[in-house]
Amino acid sequence: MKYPYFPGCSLRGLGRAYEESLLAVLHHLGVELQELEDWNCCGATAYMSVDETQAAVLASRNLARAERAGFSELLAPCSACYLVLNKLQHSIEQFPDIQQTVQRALAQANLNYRGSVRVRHPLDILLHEIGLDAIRERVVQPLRGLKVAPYYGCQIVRPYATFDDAHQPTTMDQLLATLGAEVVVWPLKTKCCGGTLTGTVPEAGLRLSYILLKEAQRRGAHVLATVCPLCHFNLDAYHAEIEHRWGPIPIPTVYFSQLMGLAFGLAPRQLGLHRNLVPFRFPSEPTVACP
Amino acid sequence: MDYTPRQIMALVRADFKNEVLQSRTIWLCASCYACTVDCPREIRITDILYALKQRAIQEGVYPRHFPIPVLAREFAAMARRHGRITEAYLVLKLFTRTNWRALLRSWRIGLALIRTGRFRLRPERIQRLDELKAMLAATASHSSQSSFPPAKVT
Amino acid sequence: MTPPQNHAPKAHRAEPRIGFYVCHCGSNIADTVDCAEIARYAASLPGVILARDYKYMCSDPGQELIQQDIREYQLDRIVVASCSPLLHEHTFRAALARAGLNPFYLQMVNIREHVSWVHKNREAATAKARDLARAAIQRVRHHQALQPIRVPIRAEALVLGGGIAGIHAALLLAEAGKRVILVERQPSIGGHMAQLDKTFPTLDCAACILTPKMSAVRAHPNITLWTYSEVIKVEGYVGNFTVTVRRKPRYINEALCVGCKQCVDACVFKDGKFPDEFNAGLSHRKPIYLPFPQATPQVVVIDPDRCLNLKTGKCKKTCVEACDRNAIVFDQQPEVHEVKVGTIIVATGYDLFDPTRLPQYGYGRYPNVFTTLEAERLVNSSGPTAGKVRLRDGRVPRSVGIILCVGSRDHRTHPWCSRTCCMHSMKLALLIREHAGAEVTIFHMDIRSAGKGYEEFYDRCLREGIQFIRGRVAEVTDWAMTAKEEGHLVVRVEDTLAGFVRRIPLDMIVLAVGMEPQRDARELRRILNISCSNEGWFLERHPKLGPVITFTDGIFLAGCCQGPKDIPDTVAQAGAAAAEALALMDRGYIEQEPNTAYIDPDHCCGCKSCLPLCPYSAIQLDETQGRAFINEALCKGCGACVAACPSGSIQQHLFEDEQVFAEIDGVLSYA
Repeated sequence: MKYPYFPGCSLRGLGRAYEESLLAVLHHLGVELQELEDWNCCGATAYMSVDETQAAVLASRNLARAERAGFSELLAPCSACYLVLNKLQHSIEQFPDIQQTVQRALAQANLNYRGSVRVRHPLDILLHEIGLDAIRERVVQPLRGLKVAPYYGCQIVRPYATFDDAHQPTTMDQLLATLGAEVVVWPLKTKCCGGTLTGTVPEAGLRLSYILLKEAQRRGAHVLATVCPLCHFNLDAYHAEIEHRWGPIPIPTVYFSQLMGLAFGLAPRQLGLHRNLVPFRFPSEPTVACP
Repeated sequence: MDYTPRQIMALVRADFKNEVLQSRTIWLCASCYACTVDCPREIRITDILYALKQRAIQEGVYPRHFPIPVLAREFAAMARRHGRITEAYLVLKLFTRTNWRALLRSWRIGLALIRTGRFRLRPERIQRLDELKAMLAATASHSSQSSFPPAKVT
Repeated sequence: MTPPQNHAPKAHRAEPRIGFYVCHCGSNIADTVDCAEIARYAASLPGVILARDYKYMCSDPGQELIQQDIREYQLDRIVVASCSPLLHEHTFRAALARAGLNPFYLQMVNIREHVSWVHKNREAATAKARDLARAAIQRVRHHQALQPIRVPIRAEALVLGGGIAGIHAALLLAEAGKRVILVERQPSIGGHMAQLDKTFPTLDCAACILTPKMSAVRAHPNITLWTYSEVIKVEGYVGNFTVTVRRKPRYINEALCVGCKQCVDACVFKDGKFPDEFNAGLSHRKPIYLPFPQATPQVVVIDPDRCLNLKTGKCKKTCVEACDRNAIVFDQQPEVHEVKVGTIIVATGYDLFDPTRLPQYGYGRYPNVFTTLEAERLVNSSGPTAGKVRLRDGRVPRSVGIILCVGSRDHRTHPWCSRTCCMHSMKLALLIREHAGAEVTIFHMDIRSAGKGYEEFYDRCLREGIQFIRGRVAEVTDWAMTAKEEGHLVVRVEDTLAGFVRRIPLDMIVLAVGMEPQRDARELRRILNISCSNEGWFLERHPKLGPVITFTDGIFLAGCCQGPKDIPDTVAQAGAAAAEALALMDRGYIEQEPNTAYIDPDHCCGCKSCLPLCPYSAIQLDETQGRAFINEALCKGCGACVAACPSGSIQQHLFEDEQVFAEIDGVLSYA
């Protein structure tokens, strides 16, 4: 299997470990990713605050290039990219004026977009294309005794909820259970991590991240599993700052793909685990968990 | 947050334009869309806040020293200029523009990120930058008249 | 039934004398259509003796005007350009009749719904009205004198649904001396009301006021009660419906069972094991059970999906031994009955919204989230906890939150207001506090307490310390932020009066689930041939003036199948439906539009192609003459045969070829 792939800026910067681990586990599952040639920034949430039309044009270039390359699907691992590309897809389907503007702009680059590219998330591919059975077969070191709080964040399930429920998503739960981990039931699966507010308005943003860490800890989780480079950054890089404000919460955050890699027996370094600021260690005595 | 989101909607309807566009509330939205999927009237609150933010920037009335609009503008400028975002570089710019002290306070994180290879200052850029610029230029005449999105998800 | 006049050979027609009237309808028409111009134009057309415009043609002076003109100018055709014939055709036909003219010499032009209400441009609207007027004037000259058809009405009624609406309607009809068949699909009548504890705003006991009526139904000599039964087919028309009812096997001889429940005690299942529907699943019953103590009829029922003998054939059948009346019949088969009735009252009620559709409220995930119906059973002294309000783990709740508008006033689920939940929740609040001593908080968007004594009840709740928080609840969660919240459910809500988001820890949450149409309402709609609104509620003919009659003559609506309503409104509507049915049955006949089809025997070649087309089997072949003929008493005027006749020998009264062609010519000939 081979999937066209849109890495996005974060996976080349702060979220490098996400790309490293995702490529490694997909390769292990016999799936290769083909990077979209000369992709550009999706626009994320910030661009939409400045100029909606330009944000749409920015995103459309990627989809148009994907279509021209003959791709019918595009894998977007970053939550913001996933949402923004999906949002453009919805907008041009629903609002003819947006479609016209986008086409006009694309024409400047001799591009054209018919709307045929389906934007997909790795979780969607893993569950609905590769399948849990194929994943289970690859598990050589089941994550037995590891209590994981699955954290989906916002933008992969909202507002479009294309492959999972907007309030109670379960795809990552199923995946983690397949890896042998103990999935912690907790109600903050889709609560906001603070996004960029952690940097701009720390007293508001960091508090949201703190709430997630604290509740996961209260539920006895050893680790949070995330799908988004920004969530990971907030929960991992700002961890010291959060502890500084609210006291110790010894709980690391890793990408779900890193946990998959560990279960597949891949080397932690290959999965980018050495890039975590809060080091993740497998609990040696799984039975001695937090209350 | 100077107004609640509910107050923002009411102020929009009552035509209190200055109060809305100068408010900090619209900038505090982190775009998590929780309100949009839960609104019983199916009002696309996140999208409406986007439209308000754009209007505030167009009219130049956003709160000047509030970091969020500064970040949004720097982000857009970098995306326009390079086609991609170099996060570390963006954060540095934000802090130099808004809050030197925050930059000083964050040195520990910065060092740790450098140590783990996540902090890259060499700007990422796309190859066909002229192509992207031509596309964005084609929207210039339209970008000034950004309209409110329809209130309902269809 | 058709008098011979309708078949009278067409007399040689003298040039007709047409009177034309155009109505302003206040400003409804006159604002958009130049009525005086229409009158001037009509007067110029051949055959029109006079044309007038008038402010309100349907008023007494308006009708009087037509009558006077008929007498004074010997008019013999009348055209009225006004509103829809649905509204006033009968009014003007009556005016013609009073002036001694056959009422079918009238033609109406709808220049309100078809012109003034849908157009803005006055000139174009006036031109359209002119064209339509010309068409009607050309048509009316071909009208013939007809007599309405009289159809007899059977004096028996079918009531569908045995909740409070059906019970009340059935009793009224029976008291008036009509035979009633009451069909209920559950094993007992009583409906949702039987599950309620007290009723607002008077707090009188629901069972105390309902059970006497249930017994009265059982005892009434004019009522045949068929429970555990469903209507599967309805044929015929007003006055002569043939209804097919399927009686499901309850594996009990109803005539023998006295409801002693010895069989229940003897069942091989020592304890109840299956969710008890009547207690909203809060308790358990056996495969053989009496639905509830006051069940009517007092006859047990066997659940075929649970009974060991019916499922596997392997059971000691201790129930059979225990029954000394030999009432248990394991080989009972479904029965299909056909009954003939004159009128049908539909009172099939509602379903409750399924709160698992809103996962943020945690129903099904958090055991201490209940629905209002479950709370109702908890406060009921004959309920699963004998009236003690208990959490699922047996603890007494100290604090209870009731969340309103769950599945109501929400565009993601149901946009309508379910109307009863505000009052219902306030009533539950008082009862829960009385039974558990708990602090009760109601979360509302706004309290809707329109009704006699309702606002006073709200006042009472406020005075007696029920807490009200105005805000739609965002979520119910077990995410604790403080030690105080540990072990509780936390309601997160924006208090819109205080203007900030609050977190309120509570022991028990009650979701005020809204009403929705019965799951199979659309199926039943097709069986009955009545209309549904988009949402699935049965549609009344007119929201103000025909709230209990349907678009199908002889079928009436009562209770929540037409839309959410409380018990007083339901009973009032059931009474109204019964009165409408009685008015029909007591007159004994109805007059029908004589729009029947007839066959010209000189042209019919007896090809029989019309015979299978008739949905009413009104066409027969006269073998001796080799010609088809139509039984006008059965013909409903659908026109299927008229269109299909290859020799063009079938015509339909009021839609004769020459009438229709003249109308088409009229509308297309540009003057």
